[in-house]
Amino acid sequence: MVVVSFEDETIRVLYATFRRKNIVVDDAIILRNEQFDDFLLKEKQKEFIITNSFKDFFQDTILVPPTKTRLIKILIEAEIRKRSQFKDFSFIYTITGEKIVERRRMKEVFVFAVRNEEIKEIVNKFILKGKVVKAIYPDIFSLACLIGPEPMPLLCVSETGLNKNIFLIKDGVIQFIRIAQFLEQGIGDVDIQGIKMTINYCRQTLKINPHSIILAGSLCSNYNVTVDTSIPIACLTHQSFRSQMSSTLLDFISPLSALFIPKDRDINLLTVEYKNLFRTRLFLRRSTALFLSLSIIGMVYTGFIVKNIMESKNRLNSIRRNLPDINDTLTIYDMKKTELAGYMPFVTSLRNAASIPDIQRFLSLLSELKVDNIRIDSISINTGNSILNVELKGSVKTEGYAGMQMDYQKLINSIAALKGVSIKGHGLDFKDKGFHIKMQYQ
Amino acid sequence: MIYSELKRTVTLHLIAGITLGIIIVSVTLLTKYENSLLDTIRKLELIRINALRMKQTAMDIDSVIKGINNLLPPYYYSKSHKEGILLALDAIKMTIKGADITVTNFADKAGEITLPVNIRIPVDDYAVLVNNVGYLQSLNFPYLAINNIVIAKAGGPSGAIIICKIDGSLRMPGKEIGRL
Repeated sequence: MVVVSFEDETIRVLYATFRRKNIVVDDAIILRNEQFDDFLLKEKQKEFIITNSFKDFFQDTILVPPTKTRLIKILIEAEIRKRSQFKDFSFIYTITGEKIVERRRMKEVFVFAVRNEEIKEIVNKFILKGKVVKAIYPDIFSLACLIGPEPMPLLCVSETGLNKNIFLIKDGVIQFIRIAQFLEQGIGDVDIQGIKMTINYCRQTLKINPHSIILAGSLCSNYNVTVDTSIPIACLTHQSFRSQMSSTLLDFISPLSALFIPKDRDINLLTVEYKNLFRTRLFLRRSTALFLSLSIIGMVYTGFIVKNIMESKNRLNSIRRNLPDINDTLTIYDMKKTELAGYMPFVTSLRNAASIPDIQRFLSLLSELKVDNIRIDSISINTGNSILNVELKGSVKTEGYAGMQMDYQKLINSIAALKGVSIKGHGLDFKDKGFHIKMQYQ
Repeated sequence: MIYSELKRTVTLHLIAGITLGIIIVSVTLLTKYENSLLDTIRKLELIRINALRMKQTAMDIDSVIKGINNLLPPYYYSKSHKEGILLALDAIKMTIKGADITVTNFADKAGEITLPVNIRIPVDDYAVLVNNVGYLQSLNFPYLAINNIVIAKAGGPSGAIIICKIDGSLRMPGKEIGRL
């Protein structure tokens, strides 16, 4: 991540990376304004966060009726337009509290507005070099994020060139900002007088008594005060810093503070137009990359298909070469088929002859019958469709009913045992000892 | 106005999109072409197999016709069908000793010339009868379609001889074989 901080005549660039939950500062450089274009041209990083010390801004505390967030924003915008001379601007607002005005509950809102022209001037530098600006923060607000939600009112002082940014923070919310120009850099007795005047203003006008003065950045290392300050003075630091901040880190407090801005703090002044531009550009770049990736996959697949086509073509040619003369084959086949049709009556005749079951075989089977004490008088065979209907008639010569039945049963059993023969009906007449058996053979 | 900064990105995006479009169209067309080639190969393979089958079938038909010609009696093309049937009848009489054969008139039925036949065979030996029936069934040109066979004692239950009566018809195709 690269944070660029525009501070009067100088530009500070901070390179940092997030490792697990820690922020590691990789590099930090200071550039002059005229060096910046060259820097952007050479810089390989694509995404930047900007902090800027806006010189011309509008700040005020306004009252709005309690309503929906979307409507509040519209009301605030209208109010800023009315109170300031700004036409095209971006703004940050913070609800600082509530107030009863003429028996109506109103919301107290601190607003900070900047002309879009000033934002565009900065952002366009990046756009022209094909870079992406993720956010643009006013340095005062990003510094305020380092302090956090402290319930005691604190008067913070930071330095941009010869300017001193004095801002009052209560519960982590900026209540008031004052930019004062002094003759020298750092904090001296003259500056303390100016700060004391601001404290008095806070007490008298805002009815807020600052608990202490917090010096941010280089002011801590450039402290030359001999007069009594009446309230405690401390250096701005953050719990993330393991030890006291070095003078180098103090110098880069403004870009460094941009890394500690919580995600829920909406202090980004980047206009919707730019946000859309970067979003569109990101979408286009990603979709272009996707298209190119798909194109490469497609090309590889095309190559694979072309290879298959070549193989198929070779195979096709080989099959064509080995294909027999179809016309010739068809002519011969038709000729033979016609010739065979002439022989079909013979085939039909043979088939008809073959449809009659083998009578010889059946007669042979009958010779295997157990015909002890049995006399067969007649065998009648009628041919059917692939079956023979057979009727046997005869008599049992055995004396005695039991013997008669036994020998008759033996005959029936031996018929039933014949392969392909099924008995359809039979009967023995004990009076004349005659029997008849109907069976089928197939 | 700031969107003019997107010109290069949009151009690249369009080029990439067009390239991808061309590749997609190419892949689609090539896939279709490949499928049509594979289909052609499949069909040609089928044609080749069918052509080979037809060749084989033509050869099979040839051998079947040769087989049929071998089965035809030597007089088939020199004598009429009726003569052929009567020659077969004579052969039956010659082969089955003592057979009494009665015939009625020739008939033309379902494309076949038929001659109803009644054969009475005295049965001295069952095994001979079985052989004779086998012989009659082995006739194939003309063939004997047996309707029924009755083997029973003739002239009463005692002391009579056993007679086998075979009712059937000698049959032969009406058309001359090998001609349409």
